[in-house]
This record gives sequence, structure tokens and C-alpha cells, in this order.
Amino acid sequence: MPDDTPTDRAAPSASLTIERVAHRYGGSVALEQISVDVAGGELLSLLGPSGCGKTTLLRIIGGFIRQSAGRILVGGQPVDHLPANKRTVGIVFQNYALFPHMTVARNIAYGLEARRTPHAQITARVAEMLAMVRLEHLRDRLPRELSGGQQQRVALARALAVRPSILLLDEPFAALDKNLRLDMQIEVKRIQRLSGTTTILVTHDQEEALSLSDRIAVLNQGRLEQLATPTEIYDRPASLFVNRFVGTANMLPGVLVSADAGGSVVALDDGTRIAARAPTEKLIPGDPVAVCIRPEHLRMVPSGEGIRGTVEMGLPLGATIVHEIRTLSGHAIKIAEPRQTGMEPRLAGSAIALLPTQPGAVGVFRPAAPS
Amino acid sequence: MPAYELRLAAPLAGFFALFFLAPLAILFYVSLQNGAGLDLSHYARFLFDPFSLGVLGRTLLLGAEVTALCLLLGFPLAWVYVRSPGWLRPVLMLAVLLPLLTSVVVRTFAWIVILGRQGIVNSALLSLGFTDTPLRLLYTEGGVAVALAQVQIPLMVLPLITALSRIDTNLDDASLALGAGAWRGFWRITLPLSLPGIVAGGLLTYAAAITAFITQSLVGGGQMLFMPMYIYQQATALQNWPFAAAISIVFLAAVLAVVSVFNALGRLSRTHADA
Repeated sequence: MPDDTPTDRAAPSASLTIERVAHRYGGSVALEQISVDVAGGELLSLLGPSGCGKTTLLRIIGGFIRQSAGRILVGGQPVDHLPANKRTVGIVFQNYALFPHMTVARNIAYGLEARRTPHAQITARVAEMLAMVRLEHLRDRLPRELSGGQQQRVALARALAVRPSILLLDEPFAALDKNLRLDMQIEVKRIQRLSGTTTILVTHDQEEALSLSDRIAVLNQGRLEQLATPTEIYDRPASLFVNRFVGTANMLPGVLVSADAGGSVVALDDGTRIAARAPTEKLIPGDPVAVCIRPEHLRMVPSGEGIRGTVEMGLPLGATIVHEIRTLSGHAIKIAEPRQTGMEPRLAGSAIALLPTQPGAVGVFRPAAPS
Repeated sequence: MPAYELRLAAPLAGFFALFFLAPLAILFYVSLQNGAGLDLSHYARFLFDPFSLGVLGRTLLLGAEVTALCLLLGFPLAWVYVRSPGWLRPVLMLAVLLPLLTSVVVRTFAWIVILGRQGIVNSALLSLGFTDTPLRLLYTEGGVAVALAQVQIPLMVLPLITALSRIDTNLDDASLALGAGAWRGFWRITLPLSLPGIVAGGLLTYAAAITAFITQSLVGGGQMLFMPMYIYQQATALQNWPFAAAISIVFLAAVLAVVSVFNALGRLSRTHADA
């Protein structure tokens, strides 16, 4: 293979194809045949709990780990034979990994110097990147003299300075406190839009994934559970895992009564029959199922119909009001309603009946395997 | 600084005063004795004597050679140690410390056996046909430097391990992801960040090398004269105590000068490396 000249690089906003990538560490499977197509300029999140394989996948894309099977293509070209320093991939690490002995400007210039960019161009590009992340006044500071948010912006500028075709963000907001996190999420989204770089965000924070992503890939135990837009993931989760991991879900045991392409009917263990979405998994009438309803998709109805129970606790949360309900069959469920001015929580012990707001808000899944 | 911290250091301070500062003062007083009076004539004799200055220069140079050799051999070892899996580390650590666990006399005689005319190195070279006559390895400065480096490598490796393990491994990955090769990453990231360890290790190795009396004398033989042996000869063989004391003070001053250069380097690198 001829040595790739550093200037001979894929243009920004290249597409990324993850093709049946699998990885094993020793005997254990870290990733099972993951396939994802990421369009140029898209921001895709890899969302999942720790140990789901999202960081392994990120390191495979970056070239730090060689996958056991499958291919990675950037802009349609396979990059599996390229070591990390020949891939045109920029990374922002969770701890930013800024070079502690170099100033902000030297950190940003590092990748350009490694590519033997002419000195004048480096100076210009560093100034451009400093302007983009709004840190012109800090160019001669050392990383330890910066706040967490500033360090993160330097890390982002350093990664983008070399015009990577793919930008990888590894839990970039985890080390920031909550107030700063939202500001930085907006900032990162702005910079990502501005640079138009195809971006992969690894996170375990579902709100972060929902707010930033064009699409989300939910991973669990090395498997791709669902790949869809944030609203699709939230409104129509494909599995029990996705429904419980993304957002809040009340889960009730039941039995599938009937199902077709348009919808289904389930019987809960207290005998209540409710209409639901068509199951995404292969289920037949008579199968035990887990029924998922989000708190904001429940409404109180006159007693005599619906799921009956008693109020255990009411929590006014400003704009919404949340009640914790104990059903007659003993399950704890939450209901969230918009709160009108002057609205007080219902008294503990009052009898109450609940129904889903609409069949489309009720998910029916294969129950989790007993663990 | 709170007062109790100073009180805790008092026993050590007293120990130092009694067994270090007081003898040093006596040493300095002895070095000034000349017949009935006191003057600086012994210092003048040393500083204007090419032979004496040659011994001093050779000793300081020997320290530099040993330090460089320890750094060259020790850095890869420390690097491997930091990167090796947990089960391998105790094994490597034992290998690093082993020279320190052997008696200096035994170790030095072992080097005489290895480096001698009929030693292992020469017989190997002769039988392989690389040379026709045995090489002169023993009683050379190179031989002394190698023998000293062997025992002093732990003094270099241990501070290097500390420095290298403080470097975030993500920095390597960040350097790679930015397109830098392994060598650029080493020169620009790993080496500058391990400077505090290099300085600390260098200081220890240097101080140990120039004062290593036994190894210098036995491996160096009669022809190679270094400062510790020079002082010893003046004091015991020639009974010239004032001159021996003066040489000691000059040697101490020269070592302190080198140490302060190391320390200045250390301070410079610490302002860089502290993350």
C-alpha cells in the first residue's frame, strides 16, 4: 500500500458505514454484528448502559482496536487496514486528554504540525478554530488554567482543526456539572452544524442523546436494539429494554389477547383490557407480555373503568404534577399530568382509576428473561 | 507552615547537625590548616594542579556517562513496566531491583570475571572470530561506567516508572488520532511529560556513580583514579589530611553545582508536566 500522504484526505462530512462489525475480547462477545449507515454530516449517538459495547465500537471506528469481523468504511472506502494515525478521525475524550505541557494554541496546532502543514496555514487555522470555539483570549494558557467547559472546547477545536472526516465524541459531557452540561451540549451542536462533520457521540445519558442526535443507535449487551430518530425511539421503542432505558416507563405484566398489524389488545393481571400498539416482536395471543406506558400517557378516569388503584404520594414538580399509584394488583405506577395554577396533589389513599391516553402510547413486549 | 510540622522534623535536624554539619565544619577547618596558621593554600594547590583537576573532571564525566547509560537502558524498561499487564509487573520489578539486592563486592568481582582478559565477553568474541586478541575491557573507563550503570539502573527506573505512570494513556491515543506517528508522540508528548522522572533519576544515578568507591577502584584498577580514591590516598597513604579535606570540599562544591543544575531542570520541567 502506498503511504497515504497527509493531505490526501477524505473531505469533511464523509459518510460512515459500519458493516456487520463484531468483536470478541478473549471468549466474551463485546459486539454482535452491528450494522449502521451514517450519512455525511449526520450526528449519530451510540446510547447504552456501561458495558453495552458502545466504547468498543468507538475505538474500532477510531482504529485503536481491530474488530474481530466486519468492515468500517469512511466515504465508501474501507479503512480497516489503516492504523489510528492514518485514519482521518478526530476524537474528543471524556477527560479531554489535552496535552498538559502545551498551550491552547499548541494543542490545536498539534495535528496540523503532524501533517506537516506550512507554518502560515497552521497559524491561520488555529486562529480560525479559536474563533469557532470562542477562546481567542485564552490561546496562550495551559490546559490546567482552564475550566472544564473551556477544556472541552479546546479538545473540540483540536480534533476539528485537522478537518477530520469523522468526529468521535466519547462521553464528552460526563465530566461537566449539570448547568454547564446543557450550555456545552448546545455549543457542541452549534459547532458540529457549523463544521458539518459527521459525528458519532457515545453516551449513557438518554436526555443528551435525545436532544443532540439526528439518529440514535441503542446498544445493549453488544446488540443493536434500535436505530431510529430520537422521537421514534421515544414514541415507538422497539424493545422492552429501549422503552425502559430511554425515558420513564411504567411496566405492568399482562397477556396478549389479540394482535394484528394495526394494533393489539392485552389483558392486565387485574383483568383490565387495554388497546396497545402492534408488538414489534413475534408474539402470539396467549403469550405473557410486559406492557409499557409512560407516566405522561396515562389519564385519570371515573372509577368503574380502567386500572384501579390508590394514590400513595403526589409530587407537584412545577410545570407537571406526578402521582405515585398502587394498583389493586399491587404494582407501583407513576402518572404525570400538566399542572394548572393552584392545582394541589390528590390526597394519599384516594381511590383512582387510570387509562392510557391512546392505544399508540402503549407498548407490548416480550417480558425480560428472569435474571 | 504550622509549627508542629517543624517540631516533628527536630530529631532528624539534630541528627544532621551532630553527624553531618559538625563534621563538615571540622572538615572545612582541617582543610585550612597549613603548618601553624590557616590559609587557602591547599585549595590553590588543587585548583592550579592539572593532575588534580583531571581527576575531578574525569569523575564528573564518569557520572555523566553512567547517568546517560542508565537513562538509555532504563527508559525502555520503565516504559515496558508501565504498559505491562498486572501479573507481569512484580516479575519486572524484581528484575529491576535485583542489582540492589546483591552485595557490592560480589557484584564487582562478577564484573571482573565478565570483563577480564579470559572473561566471558572476550572468550565469546574470540571464539566467534570477531577479534584475534582479547579486548581491554577491565580497568577502562567504559568498564567502570557499565559496571556502575548495572547497579544504578533501579535508581533511574523507579522515578521513571512513577513519572510515566502519571501520564494519561489517552494522550497517546489523542496524539495518534491527530495523525502523529509513534515517534512524534514520544518526542512531543511522552518524553517532555516524563522529564521530572528523568531529572530525579538522573540526580540519584549521578550522585551514586561519582561516589561509588568500591566499584570505581576494583573495576577501574590502579590506573583509573577518581575523586573518592584520590581523597582516600591523600588521607590514608600520604597522611596529608588538610589536602584530603580540601579535595573533599572542592568535590562537594562541584557535586552541588551539578545537583543545582539538575534541580533547575527539574523545576522547569515540573511547571510543564503538572497536569
